[in-house]
Amino acid sequence: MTLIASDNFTRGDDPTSLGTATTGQVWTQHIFHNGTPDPTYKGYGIASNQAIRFAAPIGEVGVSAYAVLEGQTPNASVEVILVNPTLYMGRMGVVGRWSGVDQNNRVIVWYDPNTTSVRMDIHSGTQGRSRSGPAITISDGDVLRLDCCGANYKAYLNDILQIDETFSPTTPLVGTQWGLYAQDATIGGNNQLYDDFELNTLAVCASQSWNCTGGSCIDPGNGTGTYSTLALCLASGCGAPPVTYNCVGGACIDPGDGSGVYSSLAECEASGCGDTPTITTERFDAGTGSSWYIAPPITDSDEELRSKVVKSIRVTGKVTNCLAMVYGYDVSDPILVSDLEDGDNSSTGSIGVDPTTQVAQLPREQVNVPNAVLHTVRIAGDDTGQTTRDRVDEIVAEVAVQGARR
Amino acid sequence: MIVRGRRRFYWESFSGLGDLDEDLSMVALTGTLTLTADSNMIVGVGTLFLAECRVGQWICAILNDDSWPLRVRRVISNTSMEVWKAPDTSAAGTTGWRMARLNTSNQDRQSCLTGNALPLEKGSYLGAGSGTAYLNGTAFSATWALDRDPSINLLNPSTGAFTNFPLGMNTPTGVTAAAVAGGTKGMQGGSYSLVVSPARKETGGYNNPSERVDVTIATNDQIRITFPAMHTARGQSAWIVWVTTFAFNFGADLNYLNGPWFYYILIDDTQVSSAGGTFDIEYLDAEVEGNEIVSFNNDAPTDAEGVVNLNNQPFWYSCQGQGNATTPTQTSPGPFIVPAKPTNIEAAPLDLSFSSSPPETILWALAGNGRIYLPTINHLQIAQATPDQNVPILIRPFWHDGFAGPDQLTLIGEMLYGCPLGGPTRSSESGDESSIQRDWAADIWEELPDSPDIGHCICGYDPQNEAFVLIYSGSERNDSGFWKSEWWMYGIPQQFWIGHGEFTSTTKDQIVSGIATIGDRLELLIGGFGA
Repeated sequence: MTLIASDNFTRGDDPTSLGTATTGQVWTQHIFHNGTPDPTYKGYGIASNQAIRFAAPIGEVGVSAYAVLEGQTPNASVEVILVNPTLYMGRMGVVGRWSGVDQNNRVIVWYDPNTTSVRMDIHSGTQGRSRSGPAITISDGDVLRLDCCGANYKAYLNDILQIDETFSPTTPLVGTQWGLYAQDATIGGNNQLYDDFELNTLAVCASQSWNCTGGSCIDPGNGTGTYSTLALCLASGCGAPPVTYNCVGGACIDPGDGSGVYSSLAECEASGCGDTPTITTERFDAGTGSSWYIAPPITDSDEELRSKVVKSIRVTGKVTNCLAMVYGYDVSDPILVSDLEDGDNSSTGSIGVDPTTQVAQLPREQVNVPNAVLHTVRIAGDDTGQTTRDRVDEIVAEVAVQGARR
Repeated sequence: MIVRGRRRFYWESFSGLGDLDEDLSMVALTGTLTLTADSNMIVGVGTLFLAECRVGQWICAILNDDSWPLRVRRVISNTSMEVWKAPDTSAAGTTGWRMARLNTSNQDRQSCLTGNALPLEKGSYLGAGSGTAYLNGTAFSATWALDRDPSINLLNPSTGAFTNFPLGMNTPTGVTAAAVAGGTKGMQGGSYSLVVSPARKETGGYNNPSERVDVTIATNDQIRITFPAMHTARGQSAWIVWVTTFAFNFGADLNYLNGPWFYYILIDDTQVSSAGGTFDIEYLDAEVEGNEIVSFNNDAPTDAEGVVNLNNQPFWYSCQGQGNATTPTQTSPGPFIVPAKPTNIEAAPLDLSFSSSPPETILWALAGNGRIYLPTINHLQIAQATPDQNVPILIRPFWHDGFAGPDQLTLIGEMLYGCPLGGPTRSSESGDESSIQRDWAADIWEELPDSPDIGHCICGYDPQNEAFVLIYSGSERNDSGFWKSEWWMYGIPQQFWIGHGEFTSTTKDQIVSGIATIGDRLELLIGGFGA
C-alpha cells in the first residue's frame, strides 16, 4: 500500500472548513438536503485538532454532508477513526469514488446505530446496492475502512471484514474523490468527530492502473492504464514534480523539475547555503603540529641481489604517537610508493615506538623480516598539540645477509 | 617533515598552518557557470567575465556540496573564459566565488581580489585591481574598492581614518588674478602671468595646470588670485601656483606671456575654501627662479592591473591594452608599464610609458634590486633603468618560459626563483639566459603537474625556514571530496629539497589563493567550499 493522502487534523480551529490535509490536498465540502445541494447547512470544520461535522438542528432530517479530497484513483482504501461514535445517532463514515457532482455516483460506508452494524450503499446513476454487516459493538477510536477495487467493495471495522460486495453497474463508478460522510438522524444529535484520515492505494488490486491525463495520474478504474502503480506514473514525470532545492548563488532554489540535490528547504539551508564561503589567513609552519612520516629510500644495504634479513630497527629522535614498520622486498615483489606513503602492506605491520620528550636513542625493536633483497623503514607519528616538534635524527636497521657463513 | 640543520641534518615535523583569525569573504560572480568535465572552457550564463574576471585570478565554483578550483587563463567574452586546470566533473548552474590574493604591505597583510594596494611613505596607499582592499583582514575605513582606474587611499593621521578617490583632478578653469594694494615685499610693478595646478596636500601630487592668467600690478601691490571650487570628488585639497618673474616683464617679446612658470606656493584648503575663494601672493624673482618649472604632462595614470614601487617611484603595470565590446575604452590588461613622475606620484603620462618586448600582456610585477620583473604568458620580461635619457627604461625577455598569473616568482637574495609553465626555474637576478637552471628541481620534477595544470602552481619565500616554497593549489580531492594543496620546500642553505606535505581538511577545501612573505614569515590565504 502507498499513502495517497492523510490528515491528522492538527491545526487551528475552523468552523467552516477542513482546510488542507497534512499531505497537502485541499478538502472540499458538499451538503445536500433531501438530495439537493444546500450549502446553508453547516458542514465540516476543525475543532481541538479533530475533524468536526456540525449536526443539523434537531428536527431537521435528510441533511447529508460529504467532505472529500482528490485521490486520483477510483481504486483505493479509505479509513478514518470514529471519535465517540455512540454519542451520535445518525450516520458517520466514509465516502469513496465520489464523482464530485452529486450523491448518485458514490459509495458510502458508515456505522448505523439503528442496526448496530456497518452498512454500505453503492450508487451508480440509477443503479444501486445496499448491504449491511453483522451486528457489532462499536467503541471510541474504532477505525472504519472502505476498500474499492474494480467491482469489489469491502468494508472493515478495525480490520475485521464486515461487508464484501461485488457490484458491476452498467456505468462503473470511476470517481476519484474520497473522504468523510455523515447524515443526520431523525432526532438530530451531537456533532460528529473524526480523526486520523488516511487514503492508500490497495496492496493488490488488478484493476489499479494509471494514465497521465491532463498532467495528472488518473486511474481509469478498469485496469487499462499505462502505469501499473501510481509511483511509476509519477516517476514518468506526470503531475507536479516534487519540490526540491539546489544551492545556487548562495540561495536555495527549486529547479522546478524535482532534480534538486536537497529534498527540502531545511536540508538545503542546513548545508550552509546562503552562507558566504570564506578563506582564512594562515601562517606557514606556525601551527600546533601535524601527522608526519618519513620513509628513507629503498636500499639494498650495498649487497646487491643477496637476500637479507632485517633483524631489528632503532630510532633516535623525539617522537610522539610513533609507529614504525619495515618493508622488505624480494626479487619480483612489487614496490608500491603508495604503500610507503599510506603505511599499508608493510612486512611487519605497525610497531609501537615509545614516545619521548627529548631527543633520545629509542630501544631497539626486533623485527626479523627475511628475504628482503631491498628494504626500508617507515617511521610515522603525530605531534599535534605538542609544544616541541617531533624530530627524527637517525633510523638504524640491523641487516644480515641470508645464507652467509658466520 | 622538514630537513633541518646545516651540516648535520635531521628531520623535524612540520608545524602545520597557524590560523591568524583573519577570515575573508569570497565574492560571487554575476550569473552562473557551466562546467564540463575535462574541458578548460567555462561557459557563463548571465555572467560578466570581462568586468569581473582577471587573468591569473582564483575562482572557486560551488554548487550545493561540491566545488571546483579554477584559475583564469583567458577571458574571451562575458560568457566564455578558459581556465588552466579543467574541472574533474561536469556541473551546471554553479556559482563562481572569487578568492582574494595576498600582498605585502610593509609588516601588514594586504588583500584584495586582484591587483594590490601600494603603501606610500606617509601612510596613504595607491592601488589598482579589483575587490575591496583589506589590511590584516579588516577593510579600510572608509571602504576602498579597487578598480582598473587607479585610485589613492589617503590617511588622516589625526583620526586614523582613510578616504579614497580615483586619481586625476580636473584642470581648473575660471581662475582670475587682479592687483591689490598692501604688499610688503616690494614686488615690482609690471606684467606677470601665472598658471594654477590642482593638487593634493597629503601627497604633494598634482595634475595639469590651468590656462595662463595675466595680471599687471603696481610696485608694492600683491596679486589677488581668485580660485574656483576644488575638484573635491577626486580629493583635491590644494592649489599650486606657478608664476613668471619680473625679469620676463622686459622687452618687446612679452615673455611673461609664454613662461616658463616657476613653482611659487602650495595653497591648501585651510588657506582658501575648497568651494572657491581668494588668496593674495607677492614675491621677488629670487624666490622662484630656482624652483621647479611647471610641466603640462601631468595626466593621471591610465587603467592598470596593479602598481609596483621601484626606488620609491610607482610603476603602473599591465596598461594600454585593447578594450572590449562591453567597455571599449578600457585599456588594461596590456603590455605597458607607466611610471609615475618621481616628484609627482599622481602624474603618469603616457609619454613615459614603456612596452614589454615583445609586447605581451603583463600578468604581474615584482620589483627588486633595481629591476622590475614582468611575467607574461610567454616570457619573464625584465625592466631595467638605463643611462640613456632617450631610453631610460629597457624591457627585454629574461626567461623564455611563460606564466599563468601572479605569485609564480620570488626573489631570494640574488637569485630569482619561480614556477613558470616550463617547471621550477631559477637564475641569478642579474644574469642572462645562460644562468637559468632547472636541474635543482630534478628531485621533484616527476611529482609536479604537467601543463596546463601547472598553471595552478604558485610560490613564495619562507624566511623562517630559509626555503623556497612551491605550492600546487587545488591539486586533487581528498577522501572526503574536498580539495587539497600540495607543497614542497627547497632549502636555500642546504641547496636541496627539504620538505614536502599537503594542506588537507575533512571539512573544507584547502585551495591556496594568496601567498606573501610578511616580515619573517610566509603567509597564505587558503579555503574554498566548507561543510
